[in-house]
Amino acid sequence: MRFLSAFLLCTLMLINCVGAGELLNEAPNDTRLKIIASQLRCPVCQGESLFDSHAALAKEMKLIIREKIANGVSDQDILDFFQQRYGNYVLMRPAFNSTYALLWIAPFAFMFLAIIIFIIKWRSHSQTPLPADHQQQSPEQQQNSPN
Amino acid sequence: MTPLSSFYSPLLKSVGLAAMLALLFMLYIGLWRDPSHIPSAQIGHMAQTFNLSKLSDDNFIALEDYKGKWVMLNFWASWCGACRTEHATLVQAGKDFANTPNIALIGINYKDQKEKALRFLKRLGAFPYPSGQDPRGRTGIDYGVYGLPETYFINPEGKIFFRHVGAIKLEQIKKAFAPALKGAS
Repeated sequence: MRFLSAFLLCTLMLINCVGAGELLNEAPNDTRLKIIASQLRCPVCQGESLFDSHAALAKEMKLIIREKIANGVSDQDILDFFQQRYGNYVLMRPAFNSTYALLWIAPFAFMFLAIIIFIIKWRSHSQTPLPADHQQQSPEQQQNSPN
Repeated sequence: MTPLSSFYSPLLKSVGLAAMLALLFMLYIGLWRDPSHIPSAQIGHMAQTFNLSKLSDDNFIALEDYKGKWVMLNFWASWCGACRTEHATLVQAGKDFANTPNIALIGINYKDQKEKALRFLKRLGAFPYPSGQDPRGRTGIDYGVYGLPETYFINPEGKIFFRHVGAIKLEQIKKAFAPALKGAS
């Protein structure tokens, strides 16, 4: 029994060591690849990032990123490289420029408008006098009422 | 109704009406748009250079060799269904423009195997113009290719001026080359 416990403990420690080793072995370039590929959209997938995609085109694009990292190209230059080829669509977060300003502003504008409409409706509703039969009655009035 | 709400109510109605009209206008504009037209980030930009080994022999084909010409660059593959559809059109276009010195047609065999591509050409007929091999799709990435077939038109300055996604028609090729034909006549 004692031998079995020791064996299990050693196995667990070994598994943990392998896991930690994998983490330590993750090269800084892989982290950069993950960061860059997560900011790019897979051109042939539906709403999937380049990092998450397993499409052949995405794999080749990730290979290009890896090569560019190895050649000392900056993250922004790599993003620009793909943007020049596939346009703004390839960016998971479109840049805030004159073309996409409406895209960024519209949700906030609609939310602002909705809040304004809600406040106005709420205020007008709370200030509208209740009909006579729904108005609050005093205890005396309630006692005298036929119901 | 309070004075505040009586002031804002017509305003809100106007804003809502304006938003509805704007939406209807955008939908109306959308009705007239060509769904096969996908805007390319490369229109108006210099075409990426390439130097690929030819499909037919061991020589190379480079965009540089076609400097000063109107070029049609067609990305195709043996595994692409729509490429079969447009194949006859491309063969016809190759024949039609064979004697037009300022026009050149180039095929790019994208993400394909040489044997399969050659078998495809043997079965459907060889293009009357050269094709370069792009087995890893790097040239395709340089041109922002999404899916096949895709055709790019490059002017004599080396700038991409038109891109067509899907099977292309002979009229579309002639229309794209209209300025070149005007200059040639």
